[in-house]
Parts: sequence; C-alpha cells; structure tokens
Amino acid sequence: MLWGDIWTVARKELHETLFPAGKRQAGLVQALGYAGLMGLAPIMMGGGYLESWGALIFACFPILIVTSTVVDLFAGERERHTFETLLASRLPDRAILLGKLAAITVHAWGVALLSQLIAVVGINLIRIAGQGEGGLHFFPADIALSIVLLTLLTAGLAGGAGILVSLRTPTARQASQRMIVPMLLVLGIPGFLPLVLGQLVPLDVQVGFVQWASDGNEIVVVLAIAVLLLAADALVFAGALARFRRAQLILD
Amino acid sequence: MSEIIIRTENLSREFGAVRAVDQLSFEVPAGVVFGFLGPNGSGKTTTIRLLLGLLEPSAGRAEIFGFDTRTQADRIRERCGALLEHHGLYERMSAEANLDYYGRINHLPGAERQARIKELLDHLGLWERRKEGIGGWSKGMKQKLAVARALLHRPALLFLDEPTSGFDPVAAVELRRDLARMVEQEGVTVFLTTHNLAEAEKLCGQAAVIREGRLLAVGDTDELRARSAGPRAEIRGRGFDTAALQARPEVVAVHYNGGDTIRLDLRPGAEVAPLVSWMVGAGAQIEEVRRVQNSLEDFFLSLMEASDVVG
Repeated sequence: MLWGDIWTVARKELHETLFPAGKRQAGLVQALGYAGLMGLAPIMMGGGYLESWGALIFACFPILIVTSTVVDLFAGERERHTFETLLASRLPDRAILLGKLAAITVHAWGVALLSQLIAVVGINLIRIAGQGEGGLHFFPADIALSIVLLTLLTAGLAGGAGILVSLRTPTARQASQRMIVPMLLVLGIPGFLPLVLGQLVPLDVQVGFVQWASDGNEIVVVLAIAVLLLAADALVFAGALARFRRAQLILD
Repeated sequence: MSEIIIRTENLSREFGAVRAVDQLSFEVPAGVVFGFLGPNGSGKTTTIRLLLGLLEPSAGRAEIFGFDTRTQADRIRERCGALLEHHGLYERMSAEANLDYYGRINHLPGAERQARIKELLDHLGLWERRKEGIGGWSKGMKQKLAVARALLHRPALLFLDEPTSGFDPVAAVELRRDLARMVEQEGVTVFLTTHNLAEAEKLCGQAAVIREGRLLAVGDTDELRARSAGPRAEIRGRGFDTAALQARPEVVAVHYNGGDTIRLDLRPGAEVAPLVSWMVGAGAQIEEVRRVQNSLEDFFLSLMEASDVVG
C-alpha cells in the first residue's frame, strides 16, 4: 500500500498548492504566471533559442519556484500545527516523505516545462506575426527530451534539498532563509560551473571539449549530467530519509 | 477481566534537565473513557505523544494493544484516532477535503469514505458547509470537524485532548453522548485529557491525575471520589451557630457567608442525622438537609493541595 499512501500525500499537496479552498484556482494562476514570466527571456531570444542547447539552462531556472512552496511541506505544516496530527496518523515515514517530494518535484517540473511551452508558443507567434511564416517550430527531439529529463532531475534535487532544510526547521520563515544556500548550489551550478571551469581548465582542453561535444556528442554530455544529477538526487533523498525520524520531528 | 489496551511501566521523558513525565505506571482497560487529568504543564500532552510513538521515552516503556510504542508505533497508530492539542486541520482545504484526505490515509474505500463523511458532517451540522474553506470558521466548528476526523475510520482507541474546547454547551453535551454511545455499543476506548472536571466526571469510568509528570492517583472515578475528604452536608435554614458547629468533633470545616445555607465538611464516617438533631436543639430552624456527593473536582483539588504541601 506504500504507493497508494504516497499518491494520497502527493495528491493532497498538489491540490492544496494549486487549488486552495476559497481562492479557486489561485495556485494554478500563480504557477501559470510564474511560468509565463520565466518564458519571456527565451521569447526575446527569438527562433535561435529553439535550436540552442543553452535552452537546458533556461529551462532549469523556473525550478526556483520550489523555494516558495517547499518550506510549506514540513516547516509550514509544523508552524500551522498540522504536522503532529499527520505524524499521529497511520502513514508510513516513507509515504510522507516521498509523497511530499513527489508533489514538489511535479510542481516545479511542471512549471519548468510550462515555461518552455510558453516560450515555444511565443516564439512561433512572433515569427508568424513578423515574417508571416507558416509552420510551427519546436525544439529538436534531442533537446526536447534533454529538457524533460534534466528539469525533472533538477526539480527532484531542488525539492529534496528543500525538504532536507524544511524537515527540522520550526517555521516557514526560517526555512525560507535557510533555503537560500542550497538553492544557489542546485541552480547556480549550471550557470556558474562553465565560468569556473573556464578559469581552471586550459584553453586548448576547453576548445577540444567544445568541438567534441558539438560534433554530435551533446547527448552524451546531457546523459553524463543526468547521471550526476541522479546520484545527487539519490544522495539527498537518502539524507532526508535518514533525518526523517518521527520521534525527533516534534520540535516544541 | 477486561483486556488491557494501554499499559505503561515507569514511563519517563526528559527534555534536558526537565523531567516532563516521571515514572508513569498505569493501565487502561478496553471499553472505558479514561480521564487523564492534570493542571497545565503537568505532562499530559507529552504522555499522549509518547503513547503514539511521536516521542521516545527516556526510560520505562509503554504498550498499546500489546505493541511497544518504541518499536511498533506504526501498528499502534493504525488502530488509533487522535485529536491532539491543536485541531491539525488544513485551513486552505475545505471541510470535505480535510476528511477525505484522512479517509484516504486510513484506507477507507471510496463509497464507504463518502458515506462516512456525510454521516459525520450531517451529525455535526456541518454538511451544508462542507465545500467551504475552513480558514474562516469559528474555533468550535473547527473543533467539531477535528473530532469528525478522529472518528472517521472508527478507531478502536481514541486520544482526545480537550475535545470540547470551543464547543457551545449543546455541542459539548452531544459529543459526550456520542462518546458514551461509542464506548458502550462499539467497545471503543477513549483516552481523554480535559481541564473540565465536570465533563470528566460525566464521561470517565476511570481516571488518572498527574502533576509535574508524576502520577498522583489512578482508579475508578467512583473510587477516586470516595477517596477525597469525608462526606459533606448542605443545610438550609436560619439561626446557625457557626462557632459551636466548628467545635463539633465530626465537623472538619464550616462554610457560611451569612445567607440561608450553610455547608459542612464532615469527617469520614460521620453521620448527618445526629448533627442535625443537635443543631435543632441548639436553636437552629432547619428547612432542608442535603448530603452532598463528593465530586471529581473535590478529589482533584484535594490532591493538588496535598501535593502542594508535600512539594
């Protein structure tokens, strides 16, 4: 029944985030607005964006939405006094943890994919309006699949890191403050790592790597990143599971 | 002899230098409402957390349904319903969604879940408002909903921490009636903490009193009441000589504020009739004599006073 329990928790978390009672679709509208905002920069880059592997980096930025929602999962529940009742229920530890992780991952992943979809629609509308060109343009299959894979793994990593922080933090506010460093690490690495490597690795090695990668080996690089992300996901989840000790989670 | 549902042996819990629960040993049989009474900060909430496996004991042990709270708490929680210190409801969700969530958590099948939610919300007068977000509800309405959540899956053991807090008097009476019916007809065991001693008196077959984490008394409520000071009498009339009454050997204390009623605390075993005859002989005009049953509150207060003296 573990999967059923995980689904129960994930379903409730998503529903509460996207469709809070009394506010109709406020959460959904917020997610759509955020995705739209994140899709603006790619739209301004024009059609070249759809051909560029750089889209992988832009696709990961909307995952920052995790910072506003993940703190609610444990610290927020603790602050609103719903956590103790949840812990007193028959739900297994893993179901609570995995259910919440699944919800936050799906939410962030969905927003990331939606931002790219908005970018695609925006770019196509501008092309059609400006040049009267017919036909829809989309990412090539390898870039599209890479976006789907890497945003999923990055969302999982950001969600897991957020849960690690939120798990034993008394209030949502404190959790938000403590989230800054892990989020910078998770989402800053794709942006800053190339710059750092550019300083550390000799120029001829860099040029050789870029030539090799752009010679049809981009997907190998993506898969290597995916393996690293998967390992990081597993590590963070194992850490969260190790920290999830029911008898140590009531902090007052 | 009825089955023991909760058994604790020297159960203790420390938080740093503070011993919140100190060597509690008691048993709760099946099918009773067990009152767990004590002043604020006496360790009631910590005890419930220990029993539900939400805290680990520093020493001693506890068993519920024969399962150890330290190692088999998941088996215990499967069989329990709980309304803890806070109502624990999701205020951004509707009443129906709150119950539906806990129905799913407790593996109630769809049709049964919906029927049970309707039954409980109907009974509590909340069915018409089931789609509303509960954020704006009154404390009493939220508390009713939290009670419904605890009862949803028909648990064999209910932990209720101040369940009627925020209830209007009619709702409180109805809940007491429901709990009494569940205990009698369904054999449910209820572990109830309350400050409302009148409520505990009406509901509880057994009770324990704790203070500063230590057990001061435990037993049948009738037995506990009988353990408090001797009998009391309430006498209505005129011409009372309070000084002479105070000097009588069977009288412990005289409570009189100049009205037409005097209250007398008597020594255990004292008879009221000879005292009344003596009062009439001494010039009192007596209209009514009532022997007053000791209440749980009397017992509780006498225990608190005694532990103050000891402390």
